[in-house]
Amino acid sequence: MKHWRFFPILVKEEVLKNMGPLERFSFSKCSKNCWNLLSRIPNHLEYFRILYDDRRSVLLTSSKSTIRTLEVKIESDLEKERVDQFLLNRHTLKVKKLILEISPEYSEMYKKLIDFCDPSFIECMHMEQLDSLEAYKEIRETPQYKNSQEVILTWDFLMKLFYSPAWLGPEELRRLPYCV
Amino acid sequence: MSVENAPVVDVDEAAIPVEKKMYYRFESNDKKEFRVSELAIQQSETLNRLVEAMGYTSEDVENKPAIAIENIDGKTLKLVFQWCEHHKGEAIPVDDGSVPKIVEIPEFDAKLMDIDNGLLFKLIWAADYLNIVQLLNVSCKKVANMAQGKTPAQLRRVYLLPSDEEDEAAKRAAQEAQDPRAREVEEEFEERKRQGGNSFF
Repeated sequence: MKHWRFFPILVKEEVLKNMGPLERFSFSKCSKNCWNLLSRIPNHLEYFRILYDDRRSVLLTSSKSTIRTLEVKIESDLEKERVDQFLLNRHTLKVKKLILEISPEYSEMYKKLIDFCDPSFIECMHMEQLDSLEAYKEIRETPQYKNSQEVILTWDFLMKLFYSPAWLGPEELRRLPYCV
Repeated sequence: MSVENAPVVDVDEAAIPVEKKMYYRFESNDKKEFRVSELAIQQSETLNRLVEAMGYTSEDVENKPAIAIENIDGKTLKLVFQWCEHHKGEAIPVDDGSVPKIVEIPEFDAKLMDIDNGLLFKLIWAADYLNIVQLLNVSCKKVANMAQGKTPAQLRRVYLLPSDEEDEAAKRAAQEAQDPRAREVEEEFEERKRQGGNSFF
């Protein structure tokens, strides 16, 4: 292709929209301009889990991308560091369903991750390992929580919440349609 | 002026009811003439609007000069009109926003686009200029397919992508080509910004 430089910008974008993730990743490494161009092309991902390769993660979740299910697992300092790295200087992520599998010692990460989801887009939050009432109280105030149709917690945590001063009464149950 | 007898149109016009099939005449920038059916023209939003605005009758088409398309050469225009004739009457796709785009290249299109990269570039450029959505889709898909399984170094060769240094040089050249007074104003503005001034005035 002799004339890439002379393609109109919309044509370049059309070509890139037709490329799969692997080709896009290779293309992004060709020059700064290639990277900048790709960072404007959205992706629509069924599932995404933050990868070790931050460059690839950033590319897959470029501006205007949507993610049906974002799963985040943090069970070690290394995983926490990786997620922190990913969130650094990120734009808001359009996520429908957020699955957080975070060990109790990293409970501050719940709020951090929820804050990165577009409140107008999110529909479900799944927090099976949430154990901290303090973290939950913070989460409960977020627009993401308020806009979610489903918030999934464990039965044990719900009982803990029920017997605590943080329990809001029947209003709490209306927001929590499912427990596991 | 040579008339291109490409398989763009059915030659047997006598067998076709005139009132149902009208053929427009177009001329490329290298003075090659093409006859294209009204239905085929509908694939191109640009040409369709143009002929609608002109409001030609069948006699006008024959008596008036061919409609000039000045940015496209005959070889490319022939491919474009072949494509339009083959796909005439088909619905024009609407972008559903899916990414990666799900585009299938039909056999006819694949054969039509079995051309060198230079001509493929011109075809894409023409499809964009004439706003032929589906031709643009399939041709962009073909270009995207060239990237399959390629490393960044291979991609640079396939697409002839400029390096960072070349991009910088092109940017500098564009700046130098600017009007000298505009450049002076820009430099003065930058200087004032560096000195902490908020306003140019």
